[in-house]
Amino acid sequence: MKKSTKLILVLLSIGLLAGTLVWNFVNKPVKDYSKQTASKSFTFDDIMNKVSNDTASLIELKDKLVSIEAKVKNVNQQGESITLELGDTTSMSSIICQVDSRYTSDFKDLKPGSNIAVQGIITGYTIDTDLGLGNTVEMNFCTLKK
Amino acid sequence: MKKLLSILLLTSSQLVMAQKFMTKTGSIDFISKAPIETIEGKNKAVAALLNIQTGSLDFIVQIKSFVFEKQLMQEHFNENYMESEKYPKAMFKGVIEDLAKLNFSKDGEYNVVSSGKLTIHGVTKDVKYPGKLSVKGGKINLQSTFGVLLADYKIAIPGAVKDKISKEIKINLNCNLDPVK
Repeated sequence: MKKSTKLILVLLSIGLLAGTLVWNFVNKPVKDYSKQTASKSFTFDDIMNKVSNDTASLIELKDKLVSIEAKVKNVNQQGESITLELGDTTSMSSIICQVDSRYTSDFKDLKPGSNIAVQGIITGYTIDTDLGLGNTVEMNFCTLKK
Repeated sequence: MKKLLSILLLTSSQLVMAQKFMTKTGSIDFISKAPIETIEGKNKAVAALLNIQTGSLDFIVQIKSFVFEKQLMQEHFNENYMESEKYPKAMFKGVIEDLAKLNFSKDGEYNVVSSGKLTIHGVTKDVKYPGKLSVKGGKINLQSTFGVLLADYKIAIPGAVKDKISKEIKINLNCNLDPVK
């Protein structure tokens, strides 16, 4: 084999490898947190107490994977998406969990009133001052805690 | 007389109870169609409150609650474009115009216009958007599709990805509001 042919083959191989790496990096799907262990576990009341009395420690939980034990207030299904509202029906305050679209089948038989343990990423919170919506904590990529 | 008073009290309490409608699981999606790539973000955790006596309408959207198909899109959206640590929420505070034309006591569909202040990326603008309001079985559904120019809200697109992101983002809103008890 000619030296120039060898060089072209090596360059093509490097180019192909680099292209594959870039393609995989750019098109990597969003993280799957279901197999990771949550850094901390809380009850619904724990989290709501943080919203009311200790927002500093709640801010520290932002972007962290946490698990929550709570009662299901509502199960909202839109097409293939499921969003859970966790909390007590006597209060407006709640935790909103957007279920990871890869694991919606785990939640299809879930009924309001049942107790559940979910894990997900805390994305933010809203302290209700005047609207009357109650305090809210939001979570993404929620899956059942196994 | 007692019976009449009871009926009046019951009726008035029901009216008060049905004055506000809300959700915390409303849906907002956006699509950016550009020559090279279509980017779609979805958020099913929109908080919305409608007061049918005054027409006041409020939406609160946590920016980090948007979900994307790809990890890189999710990161760029939060870190580079929306700066969600600095500006964690988008909000709309406004009213539904011509409220008198709407009858909330029976099922029906109406084309409505909502005007107010939309805050995205720390920039507040006066806006007016069309939408559809449906009353069915004592619940209200709100739907709207509108465009937002990124430049209006000082969302900068780096030159390297300008062909991947549209200058105007199409936003779809869909909220099922339940009466506040």
